[in-house]
Amino acid sequence: MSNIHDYYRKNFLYESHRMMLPELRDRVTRTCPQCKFYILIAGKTGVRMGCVALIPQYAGLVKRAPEKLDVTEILKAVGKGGLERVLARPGSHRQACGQFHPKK
Amino acid sequence: MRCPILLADMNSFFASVHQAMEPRLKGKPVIVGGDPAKRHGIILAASYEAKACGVKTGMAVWEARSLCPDGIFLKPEYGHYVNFSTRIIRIMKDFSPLVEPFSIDEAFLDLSGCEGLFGSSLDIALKLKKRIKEEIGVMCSVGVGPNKLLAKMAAGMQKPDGLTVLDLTDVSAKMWPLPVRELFGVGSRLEKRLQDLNIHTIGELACYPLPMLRKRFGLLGHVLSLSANGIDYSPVDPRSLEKVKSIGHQITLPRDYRGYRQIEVVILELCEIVCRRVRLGGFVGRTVYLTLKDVEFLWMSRSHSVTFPTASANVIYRVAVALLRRHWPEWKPVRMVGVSLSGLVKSTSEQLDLFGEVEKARRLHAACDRIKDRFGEQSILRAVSLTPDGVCRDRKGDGHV
Repeated sequence: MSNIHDYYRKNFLYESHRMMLPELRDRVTRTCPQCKFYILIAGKTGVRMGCVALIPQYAGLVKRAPEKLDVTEILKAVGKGGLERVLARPGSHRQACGQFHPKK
Repeated sequence: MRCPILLADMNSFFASVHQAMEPRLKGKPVIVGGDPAKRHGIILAASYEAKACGVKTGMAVWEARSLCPDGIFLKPEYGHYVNFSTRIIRIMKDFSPLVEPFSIDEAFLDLSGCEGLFGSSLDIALKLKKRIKEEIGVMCSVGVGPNKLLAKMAAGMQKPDGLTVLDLTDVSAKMWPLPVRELFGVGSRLEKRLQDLNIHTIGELACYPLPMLRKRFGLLGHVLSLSANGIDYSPVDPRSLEKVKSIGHQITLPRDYRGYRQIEVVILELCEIVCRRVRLGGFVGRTVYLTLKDVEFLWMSRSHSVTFPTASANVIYRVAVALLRRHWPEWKPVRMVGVSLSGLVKSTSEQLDLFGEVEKARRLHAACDRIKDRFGEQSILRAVSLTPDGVCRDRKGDGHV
């Protein structure tokens, strides 16, 4: 480090003390659209994005999350309240959550 | 806004996560520590109930057992900690996009320009504490200051569940009487060097002539002088985690390993783990580091750079073994082994060879990675992992060992 300006500009005081688990780095730097649980939910009149990590069989990786899912499947699995949560939870620019799984 | 920087530091994070997941543990002395049978027997975190009995982080498990016989001893569950930490950072990002995670349980937040949306820094700090407590179930100490250094110092002043504001005008009264070791960036070795100059408190460091500090410590002396006066120009960098300098893994062995053949088994397993992570990040690297620790906790680290960047475990293994044989005597027992790869660049810069060996290896790695992605890290292993010297077979889940 040549001078004090570079030292601070490059955040050196904190970079040299940072301790980070690789798994946390993956989640913090990714967003919902990069997650395999972020899929299309097809309703009667429209299609919206939703997070199926709230549905136990997908979250537990028992079933593979499809690219598109019919709303009736979600209603059967988690009911009306669950569907609201599935549709409300993700955001296109929101940081990934703890259940993040990268899309292949 | 005079104090726009905030640091949220979770209290006894690992223990608090267990208490949040299992309400029956609330109010009980929860102690998270490694497995002494695997020689990972130190305390990683203790709840405040356990701390009241004298248990401290970094203490040996047997010592903690003697101080707190009724303590509930738990093994670390890193997957849960990452999950909780991610959720906390998500909450912080609801207030400002300028969030810089500093460790698994700490993150900086820059609130400049947010007063119109959420109120003053103090209001935001209170809202943040409330949301973390209600939605995540863990307590945190929050420090608020005009820069990152003062926010960090403030967060450490009141624990647990504290909220401290440390402005530049408070530095002389609140910071200067503290021992110099309490200043962020001063470790035990630097403390000793400062004590040689008769500097024992932060105030003494702040008043020490700058030219003399620069002469003695160089650029670090200048930084120390500014820090002691509460000055820090470091930005809150939300993209800090995107810069990956090196990827590595180290392991404390279940017993002392003797002889090259035993150690090489572990090195090969570590090379596989490191290369898998390097490939997952889409990188290739040039410089291989080998770190070894002996039974007296004396460690050695050596590195060597290969001609072309790689993510192949075989190439890294050959370099690490050459470093081992060159720098470590065969008779010397080993307690800990670590392998890391630095000089990382994007994998598009991998050099192909004339006879297609690199391409062939890349296809093999891709196939192994697909199997691991689908069936887990333990689904495909090197044959050496099944020998008595292998350690990877015992790793569970993500396996932080």
